[in-house]
Amino acid sequence: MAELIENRAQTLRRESGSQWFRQEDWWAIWIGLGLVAVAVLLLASGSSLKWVAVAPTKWSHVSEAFTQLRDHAAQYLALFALWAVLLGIGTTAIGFRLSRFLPAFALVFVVSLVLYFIGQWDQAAHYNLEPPLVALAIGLLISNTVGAPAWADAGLRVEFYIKTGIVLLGAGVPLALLAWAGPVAIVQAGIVSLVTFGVIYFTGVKLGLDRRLAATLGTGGAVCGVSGAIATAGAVGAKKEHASIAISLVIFWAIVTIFLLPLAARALNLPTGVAGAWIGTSEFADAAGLAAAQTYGGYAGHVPGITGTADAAVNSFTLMKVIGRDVWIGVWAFVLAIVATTRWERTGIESKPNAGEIWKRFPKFVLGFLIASAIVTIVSHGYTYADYKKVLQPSLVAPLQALRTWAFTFAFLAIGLTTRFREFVSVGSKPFYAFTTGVVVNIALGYVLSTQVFVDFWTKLGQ
Amino acid sequence: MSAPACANCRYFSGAPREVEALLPGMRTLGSAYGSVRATDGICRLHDRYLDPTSRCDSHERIAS
Repeated sequence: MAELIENRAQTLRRESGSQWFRQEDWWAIWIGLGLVAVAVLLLASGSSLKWVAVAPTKWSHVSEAFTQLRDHAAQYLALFALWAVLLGIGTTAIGFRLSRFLPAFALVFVVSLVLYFIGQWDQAAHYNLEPPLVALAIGLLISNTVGAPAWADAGLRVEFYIKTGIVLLGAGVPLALLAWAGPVAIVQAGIVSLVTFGVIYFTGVKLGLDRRLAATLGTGGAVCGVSGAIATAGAVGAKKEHASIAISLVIFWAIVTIFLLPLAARALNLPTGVAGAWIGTSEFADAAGLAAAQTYGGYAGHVPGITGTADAAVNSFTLMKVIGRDVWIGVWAFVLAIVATTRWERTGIESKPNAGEIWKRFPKFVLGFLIASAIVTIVSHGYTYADYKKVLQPSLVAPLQALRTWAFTFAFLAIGLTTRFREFVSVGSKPFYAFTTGVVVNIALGYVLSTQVFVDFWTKLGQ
Repeated sequence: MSAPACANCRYFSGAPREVEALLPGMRTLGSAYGSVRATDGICRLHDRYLDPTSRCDSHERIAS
Protein backbone atom coordinates (compact mmCIF):
# COMPACT_ATOMS: atom_id res chain seq x y z
CA MET A 1 0.00 0.00 0.00
CA ALA A 2 2.80 2.38 0.95
CA GLU A 3 4.45 1.59 -2.37
CA LEU A 4 1.22 2.31 -4.23
CA ILE A 5 0.92 5.69 -2.52
CA GLU A 6 4.56 6.46 -3.30
CA ASN A 7 4.07 5.52 -6.96
CA ARG A 8 0.94 7.67 -7.19
CA ALA A 9 2.80 10.58 -5.61
CA GLN A 10 5.63 10.00 -8.10
CA THR A 11 3.13 10.20 -10.97
CA LEU A 12 1.65 13.43 -9.67
CA ARG A 13 5.08 14.97 -9.13
CA ARG A 14 6.13 13.92 -12.61
CA GLU A 15 3.02 15.33 -14.24
CA SER A 16 2.92 18.54 -12.26
CA GLY A 17 6.64 19.34 -12.42
CA SER A 18 8.42 20.60 -15.47
CA GLN A 19 9.25 17.81 -17.89
CA TRP A 20 12.56 19.58 -18.43
CA PHE A 21 13.71 18.19 -15.10
CA ARG A 22 11.56 15.06 -14.88
CA GLN A 23 12.47 13.12 -18.01
CA GLU A 24 15.74 11.36 -18.74
CA ASP A 25 15.77 12.80 -22.29
CA TRP A 26 16.14 16.30 -20.88
CA TRP A 27 18.75 15.20 -18.36
CA ALA A 28 20.73 13.58 -21.16
CA ILE A 29 20.64 17.00 -22.86
CA TRP A 30 21.66 18.95 -19.74
CA ILE A 31 24.54 16.57 -19.01
CA GLY A 32 25.71 16.21 -22.61
CA LEU A 33 25.49 19.89 -23.48
CA GLY A 34 26.92 20.86 -20.09
CA LEU A 35 30.01 18.80 -20.87
CA VAL A 36 30.25 20.32 -24.36
CA ALA A 37 29.96 23.82 -22.90
CA VAL A 38 32.65 23.13 -20.28
CA ALA A 39 34.91 21.68 -22.98
CA VAL A 40 34.48 24.83 -25.10
CA LEU A 41 35.15 27.14 -22.12
CA LEU A 42 38.26 25.18 -21.20
CA LEU A 43 39.45 25.39 -24.79
CA ALA A 44 38.94 29.15 -24.76
CA SER A 45 41.05 29.40 -21.61
CA GLY A 46 43.82 27.30 -23.14
CA SER A 47 42.92 24.15 -21.22
CA SER A 48 41.01 20.95 -22.00
CA LEU A 49 38.78 18.21 -20.58
CA LYS A 50 41.27 15.58 -21.70
CA TRP A 51 42.80 14.99 -18.25
CA VAL A 52 39.50 13.73 -16.88
CA ALA A 53 38.34 12.12 -20.14
CA VAL A 54 40.87 9.35 -19.67
CA ALA A 55 40.62 6.07 -21.55
CA PRO A 56 42.78 2.94 -21.76
CA THR A 57 45.23 2.72 -24.64
CA LYS A 58 46.55 -0.33 -26.51
CA TRP A 59 48.51 -2.88 -24.49
CA SER A 60 50.17 -6.22 -25.26
CA HIS A 61 50.84 -7.71 -21.82
CA VAL A 62 48.65 -7.62 -18.74
CA SER A 63 51.44 -5.91 -16.83
CA GLU A 64 51.18 -2.95 -19.24
CA ALA A 65 47.47 -2.65 -18.54
CA PHE A 66 48.12 -2.58 -14.79
CA THR A 67 50.85 0.02 -15.28
CA GLN A 68 48.42 2.20 -17.25
CA LEU A 69 45.82 1.84 -14.53
CA ARG A 70 48.29 2.71 -11.77
CA ASP A 71 49.75 5.69 -13.63
CA HIS A 72 46.31 7.15 -14.35
CA ALA A 73 44.54 6.10 -11.15
CA ALA A 74 43.78 9.68 -10.11
CA GLN A 75 42.26 10.41 -13.52
CA TYR A 76 40.05 7.31 -13.39
CA LEU A 77 38.87 8.30 -9.92
CA ALA A 78 38.09 11.81 -11.17
CA LEU A 79 36.26 10.35 -14.17
CA PHE A 80 34.18 8.15 -11.87
CA ALA A 81 33.39 11.16 -9.66
CA LEU A 82 32.39 13.24 -12.70
CA TRP A 83 29.99 10.62 -14.03
CA ALA A 84 28.66 9.74 -10.57
CA VAL A 85 27.82 13.38 -9.84
CA LEU A 86 26.27 14.16 -13.24
CA LEU A 87 24.32 10.93 -13.65
CA GLY A 88 23.46 10.90 -9.94
CA ILE A 89 21.82 14.31 -10.20
CA GLY A 90 19.89 13.18 -13.27
CA THR A 91 18.65 9.88 -11.86
CA THR A 92 17.70 11.52 -8.57
CA ALA A 93 15.69 14.16 -10.40
CA ILE A 94 13.72 11.56 -12.35
CA GLY A 95 12.82 9.62 -9.24
CA PHE A 96 15.63 7.35 -8.05
CA ARG A 97 17.31 7.51 -4.67
CA LEU A 98 20.90 8.70 -4.85
CA SER A 99 21.82 6.21 -2.11
CA ARG A 100 20.68 3.40 -4.41
CA PHE A 101 22.14 4.80 -7.60
CA LEU A 102 25.69 5.46 -6.39
CA PRO A 103 26.71 1.92 -5.35
CA ALA A 104 24.98 0.53 -8.42
CA PHE A 105 26.80 2.94 -10.69
CA ALA A 106 30.11 2.17 -8.98
CA LEU A 107 29.65 -1.46 -10.02
CA VAL A 108 28.76 -0.45 -13.60
CA PHE A 109 31.80 1.83 -13.79
CA VAL A 110 34.27 -0.75 -12.47
CA VAL A 111 33.03 -3.51 -14.79
CA SER A 112 33.02 -1.06 -17.72
CA LEU A 113 36.61 -0.12 -16.91
CA VAL A 114 37.65 -3.76 -17.03
CA LEU A 115 35.79 -4.26 -20.33
CA TYR A 116 37.34 -1.14 -21.82
CA PHE A 117 40.82 -2.45 -20.93
CA ILE A 118 40.01 -5.86 -22.45
CA GLY A 119 38.98 -4.09 -25.66
CA GLN A 120 42.37 -2.35 -25.84
CA TRP A 121 44.34 -5.60 -25.84
CA ASP A 122 46.22 -5.65 -29.13
CA GLN A 123 44.84 -9.13 -29.88
CA ALA A 124 41.23 -8.19 -29.04
CA ALA A 125 40.10 -7.82 -32.66
CA HIS A 126 41.68 -11.16 -33.52
CA TYR A 127 39.53 -12.88 -30.88
CA ASN A 128 36.44 -10.74 -31.60
CA LEU A 129 36.73 -9.17 -28.16
CA GLU A 130 35.16 -5.88 -29.21
CA PRO A 131 34.12 -4.02 -26.03
CA PRO A 132 30.40 -3.68 -26.93
CA LEU A 133 30.06 -7.40 -27.64
CA VAL A 134 32.09 -8.41 -24.59
CA ALA A 135 30.03 -6.06 -22.38
CA LEU A 136 26.82 -7.49 -23.74
CA ALA A 137 27.94 -11.11 -23.54
CA ILE A 138 29.22 -10.80 -19.96
CA GLY A 139 26.08 -8.94 -18.92
CA LEU A 140 23.87 -11.60 -20.48
CA LEU A 141 25.85 -14.37 -18.84
CA ILE A 142 25.64 -12.82 -15.37
CA SER A 143 21.99 -11.83 -15.72
CA ASN A 144 20.86 -15.25 -16.87
CA THR A 145 22.93 -17.39 -14.50
CA VAL A 146 23.63 -15.95 -11.06
CA GLY A 147 21.59 -12.83 -11.83
CA ALA A 148 22.58 -9.20 -11.38
CA PRO A 149 22.28 -8.16 -7.73
CA ALA A 150 19.00 -6.40 -6.98
CA TRP A 151 20.84 -3.44 -5.44
CA ALA A 152 22.41 -2.76 -8.87
CA ASP A 153 19.06 -2.10 -10.53
CA ALA A 154 19.17 1.68 -10.08
CA GLY A 155 22.44 1.84 -12.02
CA LEU A 156 21.24 -0.17 -15.00
CA ARG A 157 19.68 2.70 -16.98
CA VAL A 158 20.46 1.73 -20.57
CA GLU A 159 18.47 4.52 -22.19
CA PHE A 160 19.80 7.28 -19.94
CA TYR A 161 23.39 6.32 -20.73
CA ILE A 162 22.78 5.88 -24.44
CA LYS A 163 20.92 9.19 -24.79
CA THR A 164 23.70 11.03 -22.95
CA GLY A 165 26.22 9.37 -25.25
CA ILE A 166 24.24 10.36 -28.36
CA VAL A 167 24.16 14.02 -27.26
CA LEU A 168 27.95 13.88 -26.84
CA LEU A 169 28.21 12.16 -30.22
CA GLY A 170 26.75 15.32 -31.78
CA ALA A 171 29.99 17.14 -30.91
CA GLY A 172 31.85 14.98 -33.43
CA VAL A 173 29.33 15.30 -36.26
CA PRO A 174 29.56 18.63 -38.13
CA LEU A 175 26.31 20.36 -39.09
CA ALA A 176 27.41 20.30 -42.74
CA LEU A 177 27.50 16.49 -42.58
CA LEU A 178 24.00 16.41 -41.07
CA ALA A 179 22.72 18.71 -43.82
CA TRP A 180 24.41 16.63 -46.51
CA ALA A 181 23.53 13.16 -45.24
CA GLY A 182 20.33 13.82 -43.31
CA PRO A 183 17.95 13.90 -46.31
CA VAL A 184 19.35 10.65 -47.74
CA ALA A 185 19.06 9.00 -44.32
CA ILE A 186 15.45 10.15 -44.05
CA VAL A 187 14.60 8.80 -47.52
CA GLN A 188 16.27 5.42 -46.91
CA ALA A 189 14.85 5.07 -43.42
CA GLY A 190 11.42 6.18 -44.63
CA ILE A 191 11.32 3.48 -47.31
CA VAL A 192 12.41 0.74 -44.91
CA SER A 193 10.12 1.90 -42.09
CA LEU A 194 7.02 1.97 -44.27
CA VAL A 195 7.77 -1.39 -45.90
CA THR A 196 8.68 -3.10 -42.61
CA PHE A 197 5.61 -1.75 -40.82
CA GLY A 198 3.40 -2.85 -43.72
CA VAL A 199 4.88 -6.34 -43.79
CA ILE A 200 4.54 -6.91 -40.02
CA TYR A 201 1.10 -5.32 -39.77
CA PHE A 202 -0.51 -7.05 -42.74
CA THR A 203 1.16 -10.40 -41.99
CA GLY A 204 -0.13 -10.13 -38.43
CA VAL A 205 -3.66 -9.23 -39.49
CA LYS A 206 -3.61 -12.02 -42.08
CA LEU A 207 -2.61 -14.44 -39.31
CA GLY A 208 -5.56 -13.23 -37.26
CA LEU A 209 -3.82 -10.98 -34.75
CA ASP A 210 -5.64 -8.10 -33.08
CA ARG A 211 -4.95 -4.94 -35.13
CA ARG A 212 -3.61 -3.13 -32.06
CA LEU A 213 -1.09 -5.91 -31.49
CA ALA A 214 -0.15 -5.95 -35.19
CA ALA A 215 0.42 -2.16 -35.14
CA THR A 216 2.43 -2.34 -31.90
CA LEU A 217 4.64 -5.04 -33.40
CA GLY A 218 4.89 -3.08 -36.66
CA THR A 219 6.24 0.12 -35.11
CA GLY A 220 8.49 -1.90 -32.82
CA GLY A 221 10.11 -3.45 -35.88
CA ALA A 222 9.95 -0.47 -38.21
CA VAL A 223 10.59 2.64 -36.17
CA CYS A 224 12.24 2.47 -32.83
CA GLY A 225 12.14 -0.91 -31.10
CA VAL A 226 10.76 -0.92 -27.56
CA SER A 227 10.20 2.85 -27.65
CA GLY A 228 8.24 2.59 -30.91
CA ALA A 229 6.19 -0.31 -29.58
CA ILE A 230 5.22 1.39 -26.31
CA ALA A 231 4.46 4.71 -28.02
CA THR A 232 2.05 2.95 -30.36
CA ALA A 233 0.63 0.68 -27.67
CA GLY A 234 -0.24 3.75 -25.59
CA ALA A 235 -1.60 5.71 -28.53
CA VAL A 236 -3.93 2.93 -29.74
CA GLY A 237 -4.82 1.60 -26.27
CA ALA A 238 -3.35 -1.87 -26.81
CA LYS A 239 -3.65 -4.63 -24.23
CA LYS A 240 -0.81 -4.71 -21.72
CA GLU A 241 -0.01 -8.20 -23.00
CA HIS A 242 0.45 -6.73 -26.50
CA ALA A 243 3.12 -4.36 -25.24
CA SER A 244 4.84 -7.21 -23.41
CA ILE A 245 4.85 -9.41 -26.53
CA ALA A 246 6.33 -6.60 -28.64
CA ILE A 247 8.99 -5.85 -26.00
CA SER A 248 10.04 -9.52 -25.86
CA LEU A 249 10.27 -9.84 -29.64
CA VAL A 250 12.16 -6.58 -30.06
CA ILE A 251 14.73 -7.52 -27.41
CA PHE A 252 15.16 -11.02 -28.83
CA TRP A 253 15.79 -9.84 -32.38
CA ALA A 254 17.79 -6.78 -31.33
CA ILE A 255 20.24 -8.99 -29.46
CA VAL A 256 20.46 -11.48 -32.32
CA THR A 257 21.21 -8.68 -34.78
CA ILE A 258 23.81 -7.04 -32.51
CA PHE A 259 25.94 -10.11 -33.21
CA LEU A 260 24.60 -10.97 -36.67
CA LEU A 261 24.87 -7.65 -38.54
CA PRO A 262 28.55 -6.89 -37.76
CA LEU A 263 29.43 -10.50 -38.58
CA ALA A 264 27.57 -10.38 -41.90
CA ALA A 265 29.01 -6.97 -42.80
CA ARG A 266 32.50 -8.23 -41.92
CA ALA A 267 32.07 -11.30 -44.09
CA LEU A 268 31.04 -9.00 -46.95
CA ASN A 269 33.95 -6.57 -46.28
CA LEU A 270 31.59 -3.61 -46.24
CA PRO A 271 33.12 -0.16 -45.73
CA THR A 272 32.36 1.23 -42.25
CA GLY A 273 30.00 3.97 -43.49
CA VAL A 274 27.98 1.46 -45.51
CA ALA A 275 27.80 -1.06 -42.66
CA GLY A 276 26.71 1.67 -40.24
CA ALA A 277 23.91 2.68 -42.60
CA TRP A 278 22.77 -0.95 -42.90
CA ILE A 279 22.83 -1.40 -39.13
CA GLY A 280 20.96 1.89 -38.70
CA THR A 281 18.31 0.72 -41.11
CA SER A 282 17.91 -2.77 -39.72
CA GLU A 283 18.58 -2.66 -35.96
CA PHE A 284 15.60 -2.05 -33.72
CA ALA A 285 16.90 0.02 -30.84
CA ASP A 286 19.44 2.81 -30.47
CA ALA A 287 21.47 1.07 -27.77
CA ALA A 288 21.56 -2.25 -29.61
CA GLY A 289 22.42 -0.59 -32.91
CA LEU A 290 25.19 1.50 -31.42
CA ALA A 291 26.68 -1.66 -29.92
CA ALA A 292 26.70 -3.23 -33.38
CA ALA A 293 27.94 -0.07 -35.14
CA GLN A 294 30.72 0.59 -32.61
CA THR A 295 31.77 -3.04 -32.90
CA TYR A 296 32.03 -2.71 -36.66
CA GLY A 297 33.83 0.63 -36.42
CA GLY A 298 36.39 -1.16 -34.25
CA TYR A 299 37.28 -3.40 -37.21
CA ALA A 300 38.51 -0.40 -39.23
CA GLY A 301 42.27 -0.54 -39.45
CA HIS A 302 42.38 -3.93 -37.71
CA VAL A 303 40.57 -6.27 -40.06
CA PRO A 304 42.03 -6.50 -43.58
CA GLY A 305 39.64 -5.41 -46.31
CA ILE A 306 37.44 -3.17 -44.16
CA THR A 307 37.83 0.43 -45.28
CA GLY A 308 36.62 3.70 -43.79
CA THR A 309 37.05 5.27 -40.39
CA ALA A 310 35.86 3.87 -37.07
CA ASP A 311 33.63 6.88 -36.48
CA ALA A 312 31.93 6.49 -39.86
CA ALA A 313 30.06 3.38 -38.71
CA VAL A 314 28.68 5.15 -35.65
CA ASN A 315 27.96 8.38 -37.55
CA SER A 316 26.06 6.74 -40.41
CA PHE A 317 24.20 4.54 -37.92
CA THR A 318 23.15 7.60 -35.93
CA LEU A 319 22.04 9.52 -39.00
CA MET A 320 19.96 6.60 -40.19
CA LYS A 321 18.48 5.50 -36.89
CA VAL A 322 18.14 8.71 -34.89
CA ILE A 323 17.50 11.25 -37.66
CA GLY A 324 15.91 8.86 -40.16
CA ARG A 325 13.71 6.81 -37.84
CA ASP A 326 13.46 7.91 -34.21
CA VAL A 327 12.27 11.46 -34.76
CA TRP A 328 9.11 10.25 -36.54
CA ILE A 329 7.85 8.23 -33.60
CA GLY A 330 5.25 10.80 -32.53
CA VAL A 331 3.88 11.02 -36.07
CA TRP A 332 3.46 7.24 -36.22
CA ALA A 333 1.72 7.22 -32.83
CA PHE A 334 -0.60 10.07 -33.78
CA VAL A 335 -1.59 8.59 -37.15
CA LEU A 336 -2.19 5.15 -35.66
CA ALA A 337 -4.24 6.67 -32.84
CA ILE A 338 -6.51 8.27 -35.45
CA VAL A 339 -6.83 4.98 -37.34
CA ALA A 340 -7.52 3.07 -34.11
CA THR A 341 -10.29 5.39 -32.96
CA THR A 342 -11.97 5.72 -36.36
CA ARG A 343 -11.45 2.35 -38.05
CA TRP A 344 -10.77 -0.41 -35.55
CA GLU A 345 -13.11 -2.27 -33.23
CA ARG A 346 -14.13 -0.47 -30.03
CA THR A 347 -12.53 -1.44 -26.73
CA GLY A 348 -14.95 0.26 -24.36
CA ILE A 349 -12.36 2.95 -23.67
CA GLU A 350 -12.77 6.34 -25.27
CA SER A 351 -9.74 8.33 -26.37
CA LYS A 352 -9.21 11.35 -28.59
CA PRO A 353 -6.05 11.61 -30.69
CA ASN A 354 -4.29 14.90 -30.21
CA ALA A 355 -1.68 16.38 -32.55
CA GLY A 356 0.19 17.54 -29.45
CA GLU A 357 1.16 13.89 -29.10
CA ILE A 358 3.76 14.37 -31.86
CA TRP A 359 5.77 16.75 -29.71
CA LYS A 360 4.93 14.98 -26.45
CA ARG A 361 6.47 11.74 -27.72
CA PHE A 362 9.32 13.37 -29.64
CA PRO A 363 12.65 11.88 -28.46
CA LYS A 364 13.96 15.15 -27.05
CA PHE A 365 17.57 13.98 -26.69
CA VAL A 366 17.84 14.35 -30.49
CA LEU A 367 17.70 18.13 -29.92
CA GLY A 368 20.76 17.82 -27.70
CA PHE A 369 22.56 15.90 -30.45
CA LEU A 370 21.78 18.67 -32.97
CA ILE A 371 22.73 21.50 -30.59
CA ALA A 372 26.04 19.79 -29.69
CA SER A 373 26.76 19.51 -33.41
CA ALA A 374 25.92 23.20 -33.91
CA ILE A 375 28.11 24.33 -31.00
CA VAL A 376 31.22 22.51 -32.21
CA THR A 377 30.54 23.59 -35.81
CA ILE A 378 30.39 27.25 -34.70
CA VAL A 379 33.50 26.91 -32.55
CA SER A 380 35.45 25.31 -35.40
CA HIS A 381 34.38 28.00 -37.88
CA GLY A 382 37.46 29.81 -39.18
CA TYR A 383 39.87 26.98 -38.34
CA THR A 384 41.76 25.48 -41.24
CA TYR A 385 41.60 21.68 -41.54
CA ALA A 386 45.20 21.46 -40.32
CA ASP A 387 44.45 23.60 -37.25
CA TYR A 388 41.30 21.63 -36.57
CA LYS A 389 43.32 18.40 -36.50
CA LYS A 390 46.11 19.99 -34.46
CA VAL A 391 44.11 22.02 -31.94
CA LEU A 392 40.39 21.33 -31.87
CA GLN A 393 40.46 17.58 -32.40
CA PRO A 394 42.76 16.70 -29.47
CA SER A 395 41.60 19.43 -27.08
CA LEU A 396 37.87 19.58 -27.72
CA VAL A 397 36.46 16.76 -29.83
CA ALA A 398 38.57 13.81 -28.66
CA PRO A 399 37.80 14.24 -24.92
CA LEU A 400 34.08 14.48 -25.70
CA GLN A 401 34.39 11.36 -27.87
CA ALA A 402 36.11 9.56 -24.99
CA LEU A 403 33.30 10.52 -22.62
CA ARG A 404 30.78 9.35 -25.21
CA THR A 405 32.51 5.97 -25.43
CA TRP A 406 32.25 5.64 -21.64
CA ALA A 407 28.53 6.42 -21.70
CA PHE A 408 27.99 3.85 -24.44
CA THR A 409 30.00 1.22 -22.56
CA PHE A 410 27.81 1.72 -19.45
CA ALA A 411 24.78 1.22 -21.70
CA PHE A 412 26.09 -1.93 -23.43
CA LEU A 413 26.85 -3.55 -20.10
CA ALA A 414 23.44 -2.55 -18.76
CA ILE A 415 21.69 -4.12 -21.78
CA GLY A 416 23.17 -7.50 -20.89
CA LEU A 417 22.58 -7.14 -17.17
CA THR A 418 18.90 -6.24 -17.63
CA THR A 419 18.11 -8.89 -20.26
CA ARG A 420 16.57 -11.77 -18.37
CA PHE A 421 15.31 -14.34 -20.79
CA ARG A 422 13.03 -15.88 -18.18
CA GLU A 423 11.16 -12.55 -18.03
CA PHE A 424 10.20 -12.81 -21.69
CA VAL A 425 6.52 -13.49 -22.04
CA SER A 426 5.36 -16.39 -24.13
CA VAL A 427 4.81 -14.50 -27.37
CA GLY A 428 2.94 -17.18 -29.30
CA SER A 429 3.72 -18.39 -32.79
CA LYS A 430 1.64 -15.87 -34.77
CA PRO A 431 3.24 -12.69 -33.37
CA PHE A 432 6.62 -14.38 -33.77
CA TYR A 433 6.00 -15.20 -37.44
CA ALA A 434 4.63 -11.73 -38.21
CA PHE A 435 7.53 -9.94 -36.53
CA THR A 436 10.16 -12.28 -37.94
CA THR A 437 8.85 -11.81 -41.47
CA GLY A 438 9.34 -8.08 -40.97
CA VAL A 439 12.85 -8.64 -39.62
CA VAL A 440 13.84 -10.65 -42.71
CA VAL A 441 12.40 -8.09 -45.12
CA ASN A 442 13.95 -5.22 -43.14
CA ILE A 443 17.44 -6.73 -43.17
CA ALA A 444 17.27 -7.61 -46.88
CA LEU A 445 15.89 -4.22 -47.92
CA GLY A 446 18.32 -2.38 -45.64
CA TYR A 447 21.17 -4.32 -47.24
CA VAL A 448 20.07 -3.48 -50.79
CA LEU A 449 19.55 0.22 -50.06
CA SER A 450 22.83 0.60 -48.15
CA THR A 451 25.08 -1.46 -50.41
CA GLN A 452 23.50 -0.89 -53.83
CA VAL A 453 21.16 2.08 -54.11
CA PHE A 454 22.95 4.57 -51.84
CA VAL A 455 26.33 2.82 -51.65
CA ASP A 456 28.39 5.69 -53.11
CA PHE A 457 26.90 8.07 -50.62
CA TRP A 458 27.57 5.95 -47.52
CA THR A 459 31.05 5.03 -48.76
CA LYS A 460 31.93 8.72 -49.14
CA LEU A 461 30.68 9.41 -45.63
CA GLY A 462 33.27 6.96 -44.35
CA GLN A 463 36.10 8.81 -46.03
CA MET B 1 -21.26 14.10 -19.91
CA SER B 2 -18.21 11.88 -20.44
CA ALA B 3 -16.40 10.09 -17.60
CA PRO B 4 -13.31 11.65 -15.98
CA ALA B 5 -9.93 10.77 -17.44
CA CYS B 6 -7.95 7.66 -16.51
CA ALA B 7 -5.22 9.80 -14.92
CA ASN B 8 -7.43 10.21 -11.84
CA CYS B 9 -8.69 6.63 -11.73
CA ARG B 10 -7.64 4.21 -9.03
CA TYR B 11 -7.11 1.47 -11.61
CA PHE B 12 -4.54 3.52 -13.56
CA SER B 13 -0.82 3.06 -12.91
CA GLY B 14 1.33 5.72 -14.55
CA ALA B 15 4.38 5.99 -12.30
CA PRO B 16 7.45 5.06 -14.36
CA ARG B 17 8.74 2.62 -11.76
CA GLU B 18 5.40 0.85 -11.71
CA VAL B 19 5.13 0.78 -15.52
CA GLU B 20 8.59 -0.80 -15.79
CA ALA B 21 7.67 -3.36 -13.12
CA LEU B 22 4.46 -4.27 -14.94
CA LEU B 23 6.18 -4.55 -18.32
CA PRO B 24 9.27 -6.72 -17.72
CA GLY B 25 12.01 -6.08 -20.24
CA MET B 26 10.90 -2.52 -20.93
CA ARG B 27 13.99 -0.97 -19.33
CA THR B 28 16.37 -3.19 -21.32
CA LEU B 29 16.02 -1.32 -24.61
CA GLY B 30 13.48 1.28 -23.60
CA SER B 31 12.50 3.33 -20.60
CA ALA B 32 9.45 4.53 -18.75
CA TYR B 33 11.38 7.67 -17.82
CA GLY B 34 11.84 8.91 -21.40
CA SER B 35 9.75 11.32 -23.43
CA VAL B 36 8.52 8.69 -25.89
CA ARG B 37 6.32 7.06 -23.22
CA ALA B 38 4.88 10.47 -22.40
CA THR B 39 2.46 9.82 -19.52
CA ASP B 40 0.97 6.51 -20.68
CA GLY B 41 0.23 3.91 -18.08
CA ILE B 42 -1.60 0.70 -17.37
CA CYS B 43 -5.27 0.24 -16.60
CA ARG B 44 -5.37 -2.67 -14.17
CA LEU B 45 -9.10 -3.10 -14.68
CA HIS B 46 -9.07 -3.50 -18.47
CA ASP B 47 -5.46 -4.67 -18.58
CA ARG B 48 -4.64 -2.09 -21.24
CA TYR B 49 -1.72 0.24 -21.82
CA LEU B 50 -3.14 3.66 -22.59
CA ASP B 51 -2.98 7.41 -22.56
CA PRO B 52 -4.11 8.95 -19.23
CA THR B 53 -6.59 11.19 -21.07
CA SER B 54 -8.60 8.12 -22.07
CA ARG B 55 -11.99 7.55 -20.42
CA CYS B 56 -14.37 4.69 -19.69
CA ASP B 57 -17.58 4.02 -17.77
CA SER B 58 -15.83 2.01 -15.05
CA HIS B 59 -13.88 5.04 -13.80
CA GLU B 60 -13.34 5.11 -10.03
CA ARG B 61 -11.78 8.26 -8.71
CA ILE B 62 -8.72 7.93 -6.48
CA ALA B 63 -9.73 8.41 -2.87
CA SER B 64 -8.24 11.67 -1.65
